[in-house]
Amino acid sequence: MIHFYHVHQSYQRNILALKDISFDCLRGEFVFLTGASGAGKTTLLKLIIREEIPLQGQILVNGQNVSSIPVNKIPRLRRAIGVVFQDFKLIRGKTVFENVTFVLKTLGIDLKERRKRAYHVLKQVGLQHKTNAYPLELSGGEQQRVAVARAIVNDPVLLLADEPTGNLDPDMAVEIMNLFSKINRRGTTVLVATHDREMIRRMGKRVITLDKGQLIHDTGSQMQIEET
Amino acid sequence: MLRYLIFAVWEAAISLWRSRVLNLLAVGTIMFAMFILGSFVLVGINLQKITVNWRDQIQFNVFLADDIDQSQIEAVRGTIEGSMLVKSAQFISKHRALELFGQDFPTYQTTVNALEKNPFPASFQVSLIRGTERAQFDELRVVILSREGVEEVYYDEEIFKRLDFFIRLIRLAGWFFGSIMVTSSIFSISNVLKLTFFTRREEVDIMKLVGASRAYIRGPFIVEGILIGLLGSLLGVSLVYLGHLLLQTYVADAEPFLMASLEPVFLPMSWVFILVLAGSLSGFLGSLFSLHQFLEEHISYQ
Ligand SMILES: Nc1ncnc2c1ncn2[C@@H]1O[C@H](COP(=O)(O)OP(=O)(O)OP(=O)(O)O)[C@@H](O)[C@H]1O
Ligand SMILES: [Mg+2]
Repeated sequence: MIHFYHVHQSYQRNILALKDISFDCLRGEFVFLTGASGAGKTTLLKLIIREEIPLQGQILVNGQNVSSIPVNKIPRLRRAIGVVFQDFKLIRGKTVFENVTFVLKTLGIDLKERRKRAYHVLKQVGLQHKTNAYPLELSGGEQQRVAVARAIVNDPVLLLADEPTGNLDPDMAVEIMNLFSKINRRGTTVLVATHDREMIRRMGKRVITLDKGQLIHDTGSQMQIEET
Repeated sequence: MLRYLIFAVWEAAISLWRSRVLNLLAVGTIMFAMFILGSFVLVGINLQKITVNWRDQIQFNVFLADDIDQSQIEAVRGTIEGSMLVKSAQFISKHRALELFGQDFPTYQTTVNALEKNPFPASFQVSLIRGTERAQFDELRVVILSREGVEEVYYDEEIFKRLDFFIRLIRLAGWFFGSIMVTSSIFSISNVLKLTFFTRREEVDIMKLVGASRAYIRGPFIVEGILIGLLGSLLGVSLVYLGHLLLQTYVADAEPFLMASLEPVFLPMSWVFILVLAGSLSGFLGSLFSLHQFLEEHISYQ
C-alpha cells in the first residue's frame, strides 16, 4: 500500500527532515509511526498525500508513484486517502456537516446520501448532535473527532492520522482507536502518527520509530498476528 | 455537467454572501463603469437621433426652374406644405427675388437692372419644425427634388456637419472612457477576488488536501466573478435607465409642447445586451486572472 525507497526530504538547505527512509506497508496493515517531536512524522505523512514532493527517493502509494504523478491525478489520489490532520484543517466557514461531506458533494453525491453518510460517521465519533455547529463552536477534542469523521466518510483505502488522539480524554482516545481498528478490519490500511506510548503498547500493532528524520526501528509487519 | 453547474453557482452565491462587503465593492465598480459607458452611449444615440439642435432652426430653399408653370408651382407647394415637418413655407417669385436682392445690396442695383433677363430663380423658403431629424429631412428633400420644375434644394450643410462632428466626438470619448472603464473594472474585480481568495486561501488549501478537484475549486470562483459582473452591469444599466427617466421628465417640463421626436430614447436592447455582456465578461476575466495568480503561485502543488 505504501512503499518508501530511500526517501530524503528537507525544508532548509543542509537540514534533512527525513533521511533515507525506506519501508513497506502492506494493504490492510495497521501501523503506528512514532518518534519525538520534530522527528519527521508529519513530514512523512505529507509526502504520502503529495502535499510535498520528496527531495530524493521514490514513494508508491496505492500503486501510484506519487512523486511523478501528474497534477490532475492528485485529487483522485487524495480522495482515496482519508487524513486526520494534526491541526484538523476544518473549514471555519462551513458547518460540521459541510466539512465532513464537502468532497462527497464535489463527487456529485446527493444531499440525502450525504446526510446518511454524515450521520453514520458522526455517530461513530459521538458527534451526531453537532451536525450543524461550526468548527469554532466546538472543543479541540470535538474538532479532532470531526476531522476523524471527515477522514473516514468516503471509505478510504488508506487512513492517515496525525496525532488523532492528542486532544482527547483517555476514554475517547480509546474509543477512536477502537474505531480505527474496526475500519482496519474492514480492509482499510491505517497509519497513525502518535507520541502516545501507552496507546501503542495497548494496541500491539506494528510500530515504526523515527528519530531526527531517520528510521531507527521497525517492529515489522504484524499481518500474521492480525489474522489469528 | 448540470450538477456541476448547480454546485458552482450555489457555492459562488454562498461565497458572495459571505464576503458581501468586499463583493459589493466589486459590484459597485462594475456598476460605475457600465453606468459611465451606458451614459455615453445613451447621449450619443440621442444626439444622433436629433441631429438638429433645437435652438438652430433648419431653413432651406427650394429653387424652381425658370420654365415652371403655375400648376407645377402649386404641386410643389402642396408637397412642401403637406409635409408634417414643415412649419412655414413662403413663395418668392423671380420678380420678388430681384427686389429683395436690390434691397439687400443697393450698390449692385444698377448692375442687375442692366441685365436684360432676371437672373434670380423663383423659390420657396421653407422653415422646418424644431427637432427634425436628419434622416427625416433627407427623405423630404428627395421627395421635393423629384417634383417637376424643382431645380435644387439648398440647405446649410454646415449645421448638420457641426452636429455630426459633435456626435463623432462623443462617440470617440465614449469608446475611450469605455475601454478605460472596462479595463479598470477587470482589474478591480480581479483585485477584489484576490482579496476574497486571500481570506479563503486556507479553505482552498484544505479543499485541495482532502481531494477536491481543480474544477470544483475553480468553478465557484469563476461563477462568482461572472455574477459580480452581471449584477454590476445590470445595476449600471438600471442607473442609466434612471438617468434617462430623469432626463425625460426634465425635457418634458422644459418644453411641454415638444414634438415626440425630441423625446429622449433609451438604449436599444442590443446595447443593453452588450453592456451586460461586457460586465459579465470583465467579471469572468477578473476571476480568471486572480485564479491564475493565486492558485498557481501561492498554493503548493496541485
Ligand atoms: N514547513 C516547514 N518549514 C520548515 N521546516 C519544517 C517545516 N515543517 C517541518 N519542518 C521541520 O522538519 C522537521 C520535522 O517536522 P515534522 O512536522 O515532520 O515533525 P513531527 O514528527 O510531526 O513533530 P510533532 O510530533 O511535533 O508533530 C522539524 O525539524 C521541523 O522543524
Ligand atoms: Mg507532526
